[in-house]
Amino acid sequence: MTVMDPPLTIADCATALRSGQLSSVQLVSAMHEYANAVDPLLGVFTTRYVEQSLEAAAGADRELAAGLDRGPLHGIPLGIKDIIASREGSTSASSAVVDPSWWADQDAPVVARLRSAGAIIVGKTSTMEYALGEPDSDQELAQPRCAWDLDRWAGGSSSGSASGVAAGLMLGALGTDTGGSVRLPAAFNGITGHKPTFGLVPKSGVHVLGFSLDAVGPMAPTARDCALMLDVIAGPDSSDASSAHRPAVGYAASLESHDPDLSGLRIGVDLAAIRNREGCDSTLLGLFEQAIGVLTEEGATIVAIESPSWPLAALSAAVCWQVDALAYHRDLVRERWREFGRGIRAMFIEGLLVTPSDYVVAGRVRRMLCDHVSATLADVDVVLSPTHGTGALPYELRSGSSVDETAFTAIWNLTGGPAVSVPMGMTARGLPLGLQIAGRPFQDARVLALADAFQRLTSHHLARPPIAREPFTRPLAAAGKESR
Amino acid sequence: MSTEHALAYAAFAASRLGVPLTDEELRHAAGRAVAKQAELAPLYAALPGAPVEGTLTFRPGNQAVRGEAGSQIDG
Repeated sequence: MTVMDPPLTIADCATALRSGQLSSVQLVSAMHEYANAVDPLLGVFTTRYVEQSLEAAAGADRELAAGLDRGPLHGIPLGIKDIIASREGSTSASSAVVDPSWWADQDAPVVARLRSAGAIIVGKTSTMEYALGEPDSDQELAQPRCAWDLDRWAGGSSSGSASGVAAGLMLGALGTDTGGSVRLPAAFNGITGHKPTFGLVPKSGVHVLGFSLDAVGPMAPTARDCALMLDVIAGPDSSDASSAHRPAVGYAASLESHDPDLSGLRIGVDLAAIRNREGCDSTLLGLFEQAIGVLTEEGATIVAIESPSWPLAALSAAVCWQVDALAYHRDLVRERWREFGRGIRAMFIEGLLVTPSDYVVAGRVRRMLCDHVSATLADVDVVLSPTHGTGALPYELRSGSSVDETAFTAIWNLTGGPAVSVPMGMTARGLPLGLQIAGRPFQDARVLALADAFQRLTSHHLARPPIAREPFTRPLAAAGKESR
Repeated sequence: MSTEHALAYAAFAASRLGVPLTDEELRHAAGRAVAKQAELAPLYAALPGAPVEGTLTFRPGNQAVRGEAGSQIDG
């Protein structure tokens, strides 16, 4: 390993840590040094745990040296979206309206699982206020930027998790996804983001946006890395009433270790709906068709499907989370209204304007969409679409809560199945675009396997934003480590 | 909905939930109340195709029981 060829994935770093080419302390130190240099520009972190993470890294190194290996995440630096509790500090939710006693000094089950697996928590990552309201420049909070273009929005709401992974400030991160909030920022920042099946990953210790929509998911450079994280965080937990009684199934182990053979795989695509969608980047359709071509060359069969109405799905989901968010924050809304940012206040207003009949109708439409998707997935193994119609949006046009932005993604929150976003190429402006692969409930292994196969056949996921390259090499050079 | 009615509706909705809107926010809410009617119209237009099912411990339409493989409790 030369300093110009540092490990960029969890899987590669895990190998380097075990071969002695790299220590966890070196890795974590390097990433904090990058963060010192670039985070004032990127706005990735709400809080960094420098001392705690270096101490944990030293412990991880000692354990490995003593022969105690906790698995592939042992010694790996990860970020945690700041609506998820971790015992290092309080959860800010990127808001001035914080209850410091909420899950104080405790880990959410997902964080506890990562910690038990040896992961190093380097900090909390910025989000839209409570994963809902856009960053308010009047507030002294991190203003997350796209790692590929600092004049652009990182996407929401797992903003810092996505730009932090893309910039190399962490090797993976947890995000949450209610209408696309893992997959959209993953697409905008050129990384991989997986929304697990609803209920597969426990949500206790995670602030609620949509009670029946939320999913905690991994974000990382590759689908294999996401599978390694999902191996750790998936599985039932009695503290979460919506936790599915299903054990984790060995997601990373289910990925192929040889050249992919996609013979027999049936992929549903509604090309006409994508072609007819307005406002998409001019390169989107061509890149999507190229992605399909990559998979069909390996034996996959494309099946023309009729998608459910994506705008209808996004509308139904939006009604649901607007009301859920208002219900969840009701006391704070009454007591501390003025302290919330402008963006989230606007979203709360959307919730209070939803009538009871609107809410019932949205639920009935949701059932209709569930039936449509179930019928579709009875005939095909997975469904492909773009993750979003464009690359990252200019910062002044940021929203992340707009219904239209979740057009391709919200359907999988409404219907519950797994969906992963992987990079599929660049716009003419050099901004990443995402390919979404979705599947049947609890077939997370299948969608991750196809995402991994796609990444074995393409190099889109290897592209790094300019901001990641130069700073990444310096700390390793200073550490004087060479290998491979 | 007239502007006057929209303002009254927004004020009622906010006061019922105890949300202390400013005058500016109230005017914004009134505008959104009108716009939202149009924005949510597609949901009502799609309704004839939606199954008539309530929230039970099972789904009458297809006999699937909650908690079974692949089922999702919707909200």
